[in-house]
Amino acid sequence: MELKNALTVCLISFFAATVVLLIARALDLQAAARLEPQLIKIADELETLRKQGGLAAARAERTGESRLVVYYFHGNTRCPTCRAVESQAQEVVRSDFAAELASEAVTWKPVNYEEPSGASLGKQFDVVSFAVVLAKMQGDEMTRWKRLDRAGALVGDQPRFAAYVREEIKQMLGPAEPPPSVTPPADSRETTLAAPPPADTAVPAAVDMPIPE
Amino acid sequence: MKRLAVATLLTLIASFVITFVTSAAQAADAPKDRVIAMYFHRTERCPTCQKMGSYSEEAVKAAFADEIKAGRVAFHFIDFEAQKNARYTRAYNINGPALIVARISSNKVASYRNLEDIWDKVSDKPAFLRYVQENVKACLAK
Repeated sequence: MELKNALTVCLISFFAATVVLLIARALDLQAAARLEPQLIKIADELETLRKQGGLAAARAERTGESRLVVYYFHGNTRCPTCRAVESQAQEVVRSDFAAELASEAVTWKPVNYEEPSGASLGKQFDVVSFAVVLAKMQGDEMTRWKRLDRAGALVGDQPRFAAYVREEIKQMLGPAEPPPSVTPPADSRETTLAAPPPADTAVPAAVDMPIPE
Repeated sequence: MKRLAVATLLTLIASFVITFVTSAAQAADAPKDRVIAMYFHRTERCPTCQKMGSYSEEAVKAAFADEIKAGRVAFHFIDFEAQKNARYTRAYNINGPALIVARISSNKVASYRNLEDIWDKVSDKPAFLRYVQENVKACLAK
Protein backbone atom coordinates (compact mmCIF):
# COMPACT_ATOMS: atom_id res chain seq x y z
CA MET A 1 0.00 0.00 0.00
CA GLU A 2 2.85 2.34 0.96
CA LEU A 3 4.61 1.51 -2.28
CA LYS A 4 1.46 2.39 -4.21
CA ASN A 5 1.20 5.75 -2.40
CA ALA A 6 4.83 6.54 -3.04
CA LEU A 7 4.43 5.70 -6.74
CA THR A 8 1.35 7.94 -6.97
CA VAL A 9 3.19 10.85 -5.33
CA CYS A 10 6.11 10.38 -7.71
CA LEU A 11 3.83 10.28 -10.72
CA ILE A 12 1.94 13.40 -9.63
CA SER A 13 5.23 15.20 -8.94
CA PHE A 14 6.59 14.24 -12.36
CA PHE A 15 3.38 15.36 -14.06
CA ALA A 16 3.40 18.66 -12.15
CA ALA A 17 7.07 19.30 -13.03
CA THR A 18 6.39 18.59 -16.73
CA VAL A 19 3.43 20.97 -16.75
CA VAL A 20 5.48 23.71 -15.05
CA LEU A 21 8.32 23.17 -17.55
CA LEU A 22 5.98 23.36 -20.53
CA ILE A 23 4.38 26.55 -19.23
CA ALA A 24 7.79 28.13 -18.60
CA ARG A 25 8.98 27.22 -22.10
CA ALA A 26 5.82 28.65 -23.67
CA LEU A 27 6.30 31.89 -21.72
CA ASP A 28 9.96 31.99 -22.80
CA LEU A 29 9.02 31.58 -26.43
CA GLN A 30 6.43 34.31 -26.16
CA ALA A 31 8.95 36.65 -24.55
CA ALA A 32 11.57 35.81 -27.19
CA ALA A 33 9.06 36.42 -29.96
CA ARG A 34 8.25 39.79 -28.44
CA LEU A 35 11.92 40.68 -28.04
CA GLU A 36 13.16 39.46 -31.44
CA PRO A 37 12.04 42.43 -33.59
CA GLN A 38 13.41 44.84 -31.01
CA LEU A 39 16.76 43.03 -30.95
CA ILE A 40 16.91 43.07 -34.75
CA LYS A 41 16.18 46.79 -34.72
CA ILE A 42 18.94 47.42 -32.18
CA ALA A 43 21.41 45.34 -34.23
CA ASP A 44 20.50 47.31 -37.38
CA GLU A 45 20.98 50.60 -35.58
CA LEU A 46 24.36 49.48 -34.23
CA GLU A 47 25.43 48.41 -37.73
CA THR A 48 24.39 51.81 -39.16
CA LEU A 49 26.24 53.55 -36.35
CA ARG A 50 29.36 51.47 -37.01
CA LYS A 51 29.19 52.31 -40.73
CA GLN A 52 28.93 55.99 -39.89
CA GLY A 53 32.17 55.86 -37.94
CA GLY A 54 31.15 54.71 -34.48
CA LEU A 55 29.88 56.40 -31.37
CA ALA A 56 32.44 59.21 -31.42
CA ALA A 57 31.51 60.04 -35.01
CA ALA A 58 27.85 60.08 -34.10
CA ARG A 59 28.68 62.29 -31.11
CA ALA A 60 30.76 64.53 -33.36
CA GLU A 61 27.81 64.77 -35.75
CA ARG A 62 25.54 65.84 -32.91
CA THR A 63 27.97 68.27 -31.35
CA GLY A 64 29.35 69.66 -34.59
CA GLU A 65 32.93 68.56 -33.85
CA SER A 66 35.38 68.47 -36.72
CA ARG A 67 36.63 65.08 -37.90
CA LEU A 68 38.25 63.51 -40.91
CA VAL A 69 37.03 60.48 -42.81
CA VAL A 70 39.61 58.65 -44.89
CA TYR A 71 37.70 56.73 -47.53
CA TYR A 72 39.23 53.98 -49.58
CA PHE A 73 37.20 53.40 -52.73
CA HIS A 74 37.57 50.21 -54.73
CA GLY A 75 35.58 48.37 -57.37
CA ASN A 76 34.50 44.74 -57.63
CA THR A 77 37.63 43.78 -59.56
CA ARG A 78 40.71 44.27 -57.46
CA CYS A 79 44.28 44.14 -58.76
CA PRO A 80 47.52 44.03 -56.74
CA THR A 81 47.99 47.81 -57.19
CA CYS A 82 44.54 48.52 -55.75
CA ARG A 83 45.23 46.23 -52.79
CA ALA A 84 48.66 47.79 -52.24
CA VAL A 85 47.21 51.33 -52.23
CA GLU A 86 44.62 50.26 -49.67
CA SER A 87 47.03 48.46 -47.35
CA GLN A 88 49.71 51.16 -47.51
CA ALA A 89 47.22 54.01 -46.96
CA GLN A 90 45.61 52.16 -44.06
CA GLU A 91 49.05 51.53 -42.59
CA VAL A 92 49.84 55.27 -42.71
CA VAL A 93 46.56 56.06 -40.97
CA ARG A 94 47.15 53.37 -38.33
CA SER A 95 50.75 54.22 -37.57
CA ASP A 96 50.84 58.00 -37.96
CA PHE A 97 47.37 58.86 -36.68
CA ALA A 98 46.87 56.24 -33.97
CA ALA A 99 45.72 58.79 -31.38
CA GLU A 100 43.27 60.39 -33.81
CA LEU A 101 41.94 56.95 -34.74
CA ALA A 102 41.45 56.08 -31.08
CA SER A 103 39.52 59.30 -30.44
CA GLU A 104 37.75 58.85 -33.79
CA ALA A 105 38.88 62.28 -34.95
CA VAL A 106 40.05 60.21 -37.93
CA THR A 107 38.15 57.22 -39.26
CA TRP A 108 39.05 54.76 -42.00
CA LYS A 109 36.26 53.59 -44.28
CA PRO A 110 36.59 51.20 -47.20
CA VAL A 111 33.78 51.62 -49.76
CA ASN A 112 32.98 49.56 -52.85
CA TYR A 113 31.84 52.18 -55.36
CA GLU A 114 30.42 49.51 -57.65
CA GLU A 115 27.95 48.35 -55.03
CA PRO A 116 24.65 50.21 -54.60
CA SER A 117 25.61 51.15 -51.03
CA GLY A 118 28.75 52.98 -52.18
CA ALA A 119 27.76 54.21 -55.65
CA SER A 120 26.36 57.61 -54.68
CA LEU A 121 29.29 58.39 -52.40
CA GLY A 122 31.69 57.44 -55.19
CA LYS A 123 29.84 59.69 -57.60
CA GLN A 124 30.02 62.56 -55.14
CA PHE A 125 33.83 62.34 -55.21
CA ASP A 126 34.08 61.61 -58.98
CA VAL A 127 35.55 58.20 -58.25
CA VAL A 128 36.09 56.12 -61.39
CA SER A 129 38.79 53.81 -60.11
CA PHE A 130 40.35 52.89 -56.78
CA ALA A 131 41.04 56.02 -54.77
CA VAL A 132 41.86 57.43 -51.35
CA VAL A 133 39.56 60.35 -50.52
CA LEU A 134 39.85 62.61 -47.49
CA ALA A 135 36.61 64.21 -46.32
CA LYS A 136 36.60 66.83 -43.60
CA MET A 137 33.37 66.79 -41.65
CA GLN A 138 31.90 69.43 -39.38
CA GLY A 139 29.13 67.65 -37.58
CA ASP A 140 27.24 65.87 -40.34
CA GLU A 141 28.27 68.37 -43.00
CA MET A 142 31.23 67.83 -45.31
CA THR A 143 33.23 71.04 -45.50
CA ARG A 144 36.19 69.95 -47.65
CA TRP A 145 37.33 66.92 -49.54
CA LYS A 146 40.30 65.83 -51.57
CA ARG A 147 40.95 62.78 -53.72
CA LEU A 148 44.56 61.64 -53.49
CA ASP A 149 45.06 60.98 -57.19
CA ARG A 150 48.81 60.47 -56.98
CA ALA A 151 48.43 57.43 -54.72
CA GLY A 152 48.46 55.01 -57.66
CA ALA A 153 51.59 56.54 -59.13
CA LEU A 154 53.49 56.51 -55.83
CA VAL A 155 52.44 53.14 -54.47
CA GLY A 156 55.57 51.45 -55.80
CA ASP A 157 57.71 53.83 -53.76
CA GLN A 158 56.55 53.20 -50.20
CA PRO A 159 58.36 56.10 -48.43
CA ARG A 160 57.09 58.62 -51.00
CA PHE A 161 53.60 57.15 -50.82
CA ALA A 162 53.55 57.30 -47.02
CA ALA A 163 54.87 60.89 -47.00
CA TYR A 164 52.24 61.94 -49.54
CA VAL A 165 49.30 60.44 -47.65
CA ARG A 166 50.64 61.63 -44.27
CA GLU A 167 51.07 65.23 -45.45
CA GLU A 168 47.66 65.36 -47.10
CA ILE A 169 45.98 64.06 -43.94
CA LYS A 170 47.92 66.52 -41.78
CA GLN A 171 46.86 69.38 -44.02
CA MET A 172 43.24 68.29 -43.85
CA LEU A 173 43.39 67.89 -40.08
CA GLY A 174 44.98 71.29 -39.67
CA PRO A 175 42.84 74.19 -38.57
CA ALA A 176 43.54 76.22 -41.68
CA GLU A 177 40.41 76.60 -43.71
CA PRO A 178 40.74 77.83 -47.28
CA PRO A 179 41.13 81.62 -47.30
CA PRO A 180 37.88 83.42 -48.00
CA SER A 181 37.60 84.38 -51.62
CA VAL A 182 35.41 86.84 -53.39
CA THR A 183 33.86 84.15 -55.56
CA PRO A 184 33.13 80.98 -53.64
CA PRO A 185 34.27 77.72 -55.29
CA ALA A 186 31.67 75.72 -57.14
CA ASP A 187 32.20 72.74 -54.84
CA SER A 188 34.16 72.04 -51.69
CA ARG A 189 36.84 70.01 -53.40
CA GLU A 190 40.41 71.03 -52.62
CA THR A 191 42.05 72.26 -55.75
CA THR A 192 45.38 70.79 -56.70
CA LEU A 193 47.98 73.04 -58.21
CA ALA A 194 49.12 72.03 -61.67
CA ALA A 195 51.84 69.44 -61.27
CA PRO A 196 55.21 70.31 -62.80
CA PRO A 197 56.03 68.47 -66.03
CA PRO A 198 57.64 65.08 -65.46
CA ALA A 199 61.39 65.30 -65.06
CA ASP A 200 63.65 63.61 -67.56
CA THR A 201 65.92 60.93 -66.21
CA ALA A 202 69.15 61.26 -68.16
CA VAL A 203 70.80 58.00 -69.05
CA PRO A 204 74.62 58.04 -68.92
CA ALA A 205 76.25 57.14 -72.24
CA ALA A 206 77.84 54.08 -70.70
CA VAL A 207 74.47 52.63 -69.68
CA ASP A 208 72.70 50.59 -72.33
CA MET A 209 68.97 50.65 -71.60
CA PRO A 210 66.81 48.01 -73.29
CA ILE A 211 64.64 49.25 -76.17
CA PRO A 212 61.61 47.20 -77.24
CA GLU A 213 61.57 46.38 -80.95
CA MET B 1 51.71 12.93 -100.34
CA LYS B 2 55.46 13.41 -100.07
CA ARG B 3 55.27 16.33 -102.51
CA LEU B 4 52.55 17.96 -100.48
CA ALA B 5 54.61 17.69 -97.30
CA VAL B 6 57.65 19.16 -99.04
CA ALA B 7 55.57 22.01 -100.47
CA THR B 8 54.07 22.78 -97.05
CA LEU B 9 57.50 22.74 -95.47
CA LEU B 10 58.91 25.05 -98.16
CA THR B 11 56.00 27.44 -97.73
CA LEU B 12 56.55 27.55 -93.98
CA ILE B 13 60.27 28.20 -94.39
CA ALA B 14 59.61 30.89 -97.00
CA SER B 15 57.07 32.68 -94.79
CA PHE B 16 59.44 32.49 -91.81
CA VAL B 17 62.31 33.96 -93.90
CA ILE B 18 60.06 36.74 -95.25
CA THR B 19 58.85 37.64 -91.76
CA PHE B 20 62.39 37.65 -90.42
CA VAL B 21 63.76 39.76 -93.29
CA THR B 22 60.85 42.21 -93.07
CA SER B 23 61.23 42.74 -89.33
CA ALA B 24 65.00 43.05 -89.66
CA ALA B 25 64.50 45.59 -92.43
CA GLN B 26 61.99 47.49 -90.30
CA ALA B 27 64.42 47.53 -87.38
CA ALA B 28 67.19 48.64 -89.64
CA ASP B 29 64.90 51.30 -91.11
CA ALA B 30 63.94 52.75 -87.71
CA PRO B 31 65.56 56.15 -87.38
CA LYS B 32 68.44 56.36 -84.95
CA ASP B 33 66.68 59.18 -83.15
CA ARG B 34 63.14 58.40 -82.09
CA VAL B 35 60.69 58.36 -79.20
CA ILE B 36 59.23 55.23 -77.66
CA ALA B 37 56.25 55.20 -75.33
CA MET B 38 56.00 52.10 -73.16
CA TYR B 39 52.96 51.29 -71.10
CA PHE B 40 53.97 48.93 -68.30
CA HIS B 41 51.22 46.80 -66.78
CA ARG B 42 50.84 43.78 -64.53
CA THR B 43 49.88 40.34 -65.78
CA GLU B 44 46.60 40.65 -63.87
CA ARG B 45 44.96 43.90 -64.99
CA CYS B 46 42.23 45.93 -63.33
CA PRO B 47 39.84 48.28 -65.19
CA THR B 48 41.92 51.35 -64.25
CA CYS B 49 45.11 49.85 -65.64
CA GLN B 50 43.30 48.82 -68.82
CA LYS B 51 41.83 52.28 -69.19
CA MET B 52 45.20 54.00 -68.73
CA GLY B 53 46.78 51.60 -71.23
CA SER B 54 44.14 52.13 -73.87
CA TYR B 55 44.11 55.92 -73.39
CA SER B 56 47.92 55.99 -73.69
CA GLU B 57 47.82 53.97 -76.89
CA GLU B 58 45.05 56.12 -78.31
CA ALA B 59 46.89 59.33 -77.43
CA VAL B 60 50.04 58.23 -79.22
CA LYS B 61 48.44 56.55 -82.23
CA ALA B 62 45.95 59.33 -82.89
CA ALA B 63 48.36 62.25 -82.66
CA PHE B 64 51.50 60.71 -84.16
CA ALA B 65 50.23 58.54 -87.01
CA ASP B 66 52.77 59.95 -89.50
CA GLU B 67 55.64 59.67 -87.03
CA ILE B 68 54.66 56.07 -86.25
CA LYS B 69 54.67 55.26 -89.98
CA ALA B 70 58.12 56.81 -90.31
CA GLY B 71 59.35 54.94 -87.22
CA ARG B 72 60.02 58.15 -85.30
CA VAL B 73 57.45 57.23 -82.66
CA ALA B 74 56.48 53.80 -81.34
CA PHE B 75 54.14 52.51 -78.69
CA HIS B 76 54.53 49.26 -76.76
CA PHE B 77 52.64 47.43 -74.06
CA ILE B 78 54.98 45.62 -71.68
CA ASP B 79 53.92 43.17 -68.98
CA PHE B 80 56.42 44.07 -66.29
CA GLU B 81 55.67 40.94 -64.29
CA ALA B 82 56.58 38.59 -67.14
CA GLN B 83 60.00 37.03 -66.74
CA LYS B 84 60.89 37.80 -70.37
CA ASN B 85 60.49 41.53 -69.63
CA ALA B 86 62.49 41.61 -66.41
CA ARG B 87 65.28 43.66 -68.01
CA TYR B 88 62.81 46.48 -68.84
CA THR B 89 61.32 46.34 -65.36
CA ARG B 90 64.76 46.66 -63.76
CA ALA B 91 66.13 49.25 -66.17
CA TYR B 92 63.17 51.63 -65.94
CA ASN B 93 62.60 50.97 -62.22
CA ILE B 94 59.02 49.83 -62.68
CA ASN B 95 56.97 48.67 -59.70
CA GLY B 96 53.44 49.47 -60.77
CA PRO B 97 51.47 50.40 -63.88
CA ALA B 98 53.37 53.23 -65.57
CA LEU B 99 53.78 55.07 -68.84
CA ILE B 100 57.40 55.72 -69.76
CA VAL B 101 58.38 57.91 -72.68
CA ALA B 102 61.97 57.34 -73.76
CA ARG B 103 64.03 59.50 -76.10
CA ILE B 104 66.32 57.43 -78.27
CA SER B 105 69.38 59.11 -79.67
CA SER B 106 71.75 57.24 -81.98
CA ASN B 107 69.89 54.01 -81.14
CA LYS B 108 70.50 54.43 -77.39
CA VAL B 109 68.14 55.63 -74.69
CA ALA B 110 69.34 59.15 -73.93
CA SER B 111 66.65 59.97 -71.37
CA TYR B 112 63.23 58.87 -70.27
CA ARG B 113 60.35 60.27 -68.25
CA ASN B 114 57.71 58.58 -66.16
CA LEU B 115 54.34 60.20 -66.82
CA GLU B 116 53.08 59.80 -63.26
CA ASP B 117 50.16 62.17 -63.76
CA ILE B 118 48.29 59.61 -65.84
CA TRP B 119 46.88 58.53 -62.47
CA ASP B 120 45.51 62.03 -61.83
CA LYS B 121 44.02 62.29 -65.27
CA VAL B 122 42.47 58.87 -65.79
CA SER B 123 39.05 60.28 -64.88
CA ASP B 124 39.40 63.04 -67.49
CA LYS B 125 40.09 61.46 -70.87
CA PRO B 126 40.75 64.66 -72.88
CA ALA B 127 43.21 65.86 -70.21
CA PHE B 128 44.86 62.43 -70.20
CA LEU B 129 45.29 62.38 -73.98
CA ARG B 130 46.60 65.95 -74.00
CA TYR B 131 49.09 65.19 -71.23
CA VAL B 132 50.51 62.15 -73.03
CA GLN B 133 50.65 63.92 -76.39
CA GLU B 134 52.37 67.01 -74.96
CA ASN B 135 55.06 64.86 -73.39
CA VAL B 136 55.67 62.77 -76.50
CA LYS B 137 55.84 65.99 -78.52
CA ALA B 138 58.32 67.49 -76.04
CA CYS B 139 60.55 64.43 -76.31
CA LEU B 140 60.34 64.50 -80.11
CA ALA B 141 61.39 68.14 -80.14
CA LYS B 142 64.59 67.50 -78.21
